[in-house]
Amino acid sequence: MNSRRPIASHVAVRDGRILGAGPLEELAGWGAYELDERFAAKVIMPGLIEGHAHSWEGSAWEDTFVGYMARTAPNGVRHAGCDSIDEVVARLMDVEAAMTDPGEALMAWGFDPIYFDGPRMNLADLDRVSTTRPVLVMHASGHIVNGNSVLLARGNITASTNVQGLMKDGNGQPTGELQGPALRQIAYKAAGKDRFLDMGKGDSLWRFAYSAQRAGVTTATDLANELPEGTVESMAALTARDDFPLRIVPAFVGMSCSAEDGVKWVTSLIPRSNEKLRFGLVKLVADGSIQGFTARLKWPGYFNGAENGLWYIDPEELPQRLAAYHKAGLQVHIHTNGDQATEVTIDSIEQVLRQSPDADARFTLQHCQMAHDAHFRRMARLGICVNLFANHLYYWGDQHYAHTMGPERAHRMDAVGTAHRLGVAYTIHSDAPVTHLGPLFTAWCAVNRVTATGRVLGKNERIGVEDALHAITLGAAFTLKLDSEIGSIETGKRADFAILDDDPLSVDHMQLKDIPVWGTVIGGEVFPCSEIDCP
Amino acid sequence: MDAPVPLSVIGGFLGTGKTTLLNQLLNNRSGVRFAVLVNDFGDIVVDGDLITEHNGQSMTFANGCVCCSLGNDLLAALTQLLQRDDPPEQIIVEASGVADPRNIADFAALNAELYRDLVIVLVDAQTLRQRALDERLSDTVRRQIAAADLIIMNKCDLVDDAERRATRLWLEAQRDDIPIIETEHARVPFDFLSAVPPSDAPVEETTQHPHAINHGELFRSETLDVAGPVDIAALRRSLEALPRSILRVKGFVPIQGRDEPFFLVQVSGNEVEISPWQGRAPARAGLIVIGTPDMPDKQQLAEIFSAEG
Ligand SMILES: [Zn+2]
Repeated sequence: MNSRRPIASHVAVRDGRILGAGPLEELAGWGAYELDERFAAKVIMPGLIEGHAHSWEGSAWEDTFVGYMARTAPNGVRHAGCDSIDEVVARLMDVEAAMTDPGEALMAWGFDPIYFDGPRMNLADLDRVSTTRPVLVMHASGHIVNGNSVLLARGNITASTNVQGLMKDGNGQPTGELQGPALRQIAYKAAGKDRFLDMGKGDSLWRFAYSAQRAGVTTATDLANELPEGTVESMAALTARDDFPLRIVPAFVGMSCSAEDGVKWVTSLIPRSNEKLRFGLVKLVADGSIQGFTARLKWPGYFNGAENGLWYIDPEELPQRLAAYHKAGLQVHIHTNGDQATEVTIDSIEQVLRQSPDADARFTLQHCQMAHDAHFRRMARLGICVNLFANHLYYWGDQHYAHTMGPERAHRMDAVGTAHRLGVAYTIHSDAPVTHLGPLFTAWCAVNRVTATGRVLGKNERIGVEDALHAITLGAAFTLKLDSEIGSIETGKRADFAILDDDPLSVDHMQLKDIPVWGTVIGGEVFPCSEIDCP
Repeated sequence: MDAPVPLSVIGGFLGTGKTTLLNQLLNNRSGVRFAVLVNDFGDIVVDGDLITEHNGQSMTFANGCVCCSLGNDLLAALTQLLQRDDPPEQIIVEASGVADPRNIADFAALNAELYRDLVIVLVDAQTLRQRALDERLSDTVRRQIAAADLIIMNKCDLVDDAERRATRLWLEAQRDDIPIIETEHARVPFDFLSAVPPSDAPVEETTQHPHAINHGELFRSETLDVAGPVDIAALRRSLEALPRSILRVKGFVPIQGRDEPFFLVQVSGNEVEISPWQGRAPARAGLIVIGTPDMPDKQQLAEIFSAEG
């Protein structure tokens, strides 16, 4: 991915960094060497970089996966997708049968009823799993959970409970579906677990790192973490270990404190960075999600007529928050799913840059799924980067076509081709665990733009394989302001590699996602996937 | 178990006067111990000598009030408050301009130690209709208003009469079922925001309290004596049928056929609450009724309650 030398036969490494890449005779000039031929039959790529994932990817796997698309856990076990409520129930019954502690709650994640026609999941479904222990199923959106009767009883949620998010049947009885933050928190409390608080704890960071390693990822963001002291300590301790296989770039999520306090906290964290941990990034969230109908859309809104989504930050307050972090020299990434959120955010950045000009602030729009050409033109001129959610094309492209955006806008969603053509610095992402962590798959999505049912969305928005590989290496590094350290194989950079069994440039486009990952190298340290020891 | 603690939510966009209102509550000298949960302490202004303790997460005041940062875990913040040695008598949570304040009120509805009091939404008389026309904000403004039990139309001193009336009409077109009160500098009678009836003083003295209602032009209050135990069904009917000019009712009454000496009575927004009172015994039975100047007078109020009772 070094533009002057895209292909090389050898790479020389010293003290965790790259001396150079090229023919052996050239590299021999650096002095005595030891020739390591382990990867002679492999393909060495720059370590892949995931610009938008969450350490929640690690904690999620403590619970039972019941998503629609098959997924591989950090321990390498492949879990089939659940394509009906009955299958979810069957899987949970199997897990329940193997549980030993009778009081322990059974927790599941990734349930995605947007794929199912027919009735919603209800109490009777989950009561089939257990009538003695709480059962809690979190939806893929993260905003809705389903519980069984035991869970509702423990949470004291009854027919007489009067809150908006409690779904009730025709007889006024709760159906077990709980929406909104209050009910969700009560449900987790009733289950005796809080997975959101577990994010960033030791075990989950190991799992996160193993998921990354299996995907050839050597640097990943944890893109929205409150970064309380405990989390910072465990991150610092783990990343200092030689055997920890991931560089982490955590982004402080500045949503529930004042910008002033946020600036103070993040600034105080920067000196606690190490070679595999980089503090300083800030994340703000402008709106919700498109498939959850909580993204903010411009006219004419949702294709199925759903009312417009939710602001997570007051649009009038966004410029002030951005300005506070920007003036403190901190880089900000902003989650903007719908096109109205994207537009408001670009307006806000423009306002901030007028007050405090900075040609290289690298504000980055995360997701940015509905941006159109005019947005990309402004982004290019303002120096705004973008991280497009290419995996959405495959995972929910059919739903966007049919329900959320309608055909025309579904074709332009995650417009990687437009970003490329108009000169916007871009990368692409998984938002793991929302979709699975795997930059080669994400590249495949950007190259082929095929949905789960095989429809091609936006032929003209496809990009070439080389461009997609750039996006998941140097492109991502650029959005993190780490492009002088990682993202390519050239003199002076960190010796971070993805070791592949096949060459992404020679396999068929449609096979890109299937290339086996042998392992990674981080700072010269070799991490084979075969040696992962994960529960 | 102690009587449940009332929880109110104050919502409204930036600049509508939320912080001004919260500052008034925190600085109150009426003896009600408020706990106020805010996103950002930055603008909370309290007389210096009133603060007895200040750490990063909370400020405690000499008058017994406390102001805490909300953080991202409301459930934990509320649990912490309720477990204090001196738990608050009333909790107020500030909601951001774009949050649905009902989501916060739900926490009270789901917790037996709390009860859901008002969802109060502040609007700025100067900017409300402008915001309602802004494509980016119009639906958020309407949703917020739809969520309110009470609307405080603030900054009425900064608009002329025609503008004020037009804004009020616009609000009434959205909600003709809840009180809309007009204020300046977010000045709302303390008795009105406090859900806590004064339990240690005779009810009739309340109106003479130094911080009781003194905005004669905007609000009026009356105290009603309650002679003997009343019929709970009749009382509920009377309370549910009160005219819109009445904004809040609170007090203590004995109930026929019940052993408890007093029941707590609360009317706020559309909610009527009549529940056994386990706190310190009030000096006597009675109700405080607060409303706009055109609300029924003492005589008429007495008739409303006796007619049904
Ligand atoms: Zn995310």
